[in-house]
Amino acid sequence: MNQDIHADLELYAAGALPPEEMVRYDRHLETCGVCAARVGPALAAVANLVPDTPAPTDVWVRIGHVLDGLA
Amino acid sequence: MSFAVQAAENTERSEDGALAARIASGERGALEEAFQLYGGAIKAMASRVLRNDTLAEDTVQDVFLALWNAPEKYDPARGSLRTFLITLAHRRAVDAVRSEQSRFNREERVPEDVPPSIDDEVWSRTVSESVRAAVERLADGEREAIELAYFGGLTYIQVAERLGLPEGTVKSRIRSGMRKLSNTLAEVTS
Repeated sequence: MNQDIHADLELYAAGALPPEEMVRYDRHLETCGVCAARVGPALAAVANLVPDTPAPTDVWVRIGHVLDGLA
Repeated sequence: MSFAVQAAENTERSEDGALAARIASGERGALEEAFQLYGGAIKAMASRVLRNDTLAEDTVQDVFLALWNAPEKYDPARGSLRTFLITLAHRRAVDAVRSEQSRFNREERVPEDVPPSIDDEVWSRTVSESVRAAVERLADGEREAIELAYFGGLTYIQVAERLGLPEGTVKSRIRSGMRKLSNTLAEVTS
């Protein structure tokens, strides 16, 4: 199983695996520090493809309402 | 990586850990700080995947409420808070895309690709610029496969169907492209 996991870590990071496989990887990565360390740079790389933009204020207002409800 | 960039990354990780600890202690202002820092990027990610502003904002809300409810799931040792939150947002957005209702919404409401906003054109970090440059250097087939998977929410099987290529070819292209991106990031940050 670990060999399968190693082979497809890049596909996991790219979000290209079928949903059931993503779940299997999630479970494995929770306990395997080696795989987590390997997949980390790939996840960071694709995350850096997303630009920083101003945070949407209206969404923060909505979050605030939810938090008020929880309080 | 220069000393200055390394120092900046170490500082960012340290600050992320401190921020997560404050959120864990129930400090609402800390969650707002995280929102101001990363809410825009998370919405940019969700918008790119979902192509629907309302669904994207719902994703942003879900991600920050998830951080509030379970801040212990973020481990600074495994990466930046920004990467953690964007990864979480990506998973949620892709799940939404893969539901039949979202697919219907996408096709019916927004048939065309949403052009990138002016903000989307802004790349404020050296790392982001380096990774973007690396994407431009990828072979066309690698870039196309990764973008269809990451921003299009498609599995490698669906990418293969879309491009009319064998699944093994698509897997190889995604693997090789992602390795190149990871290596670029490693060069910039090491």
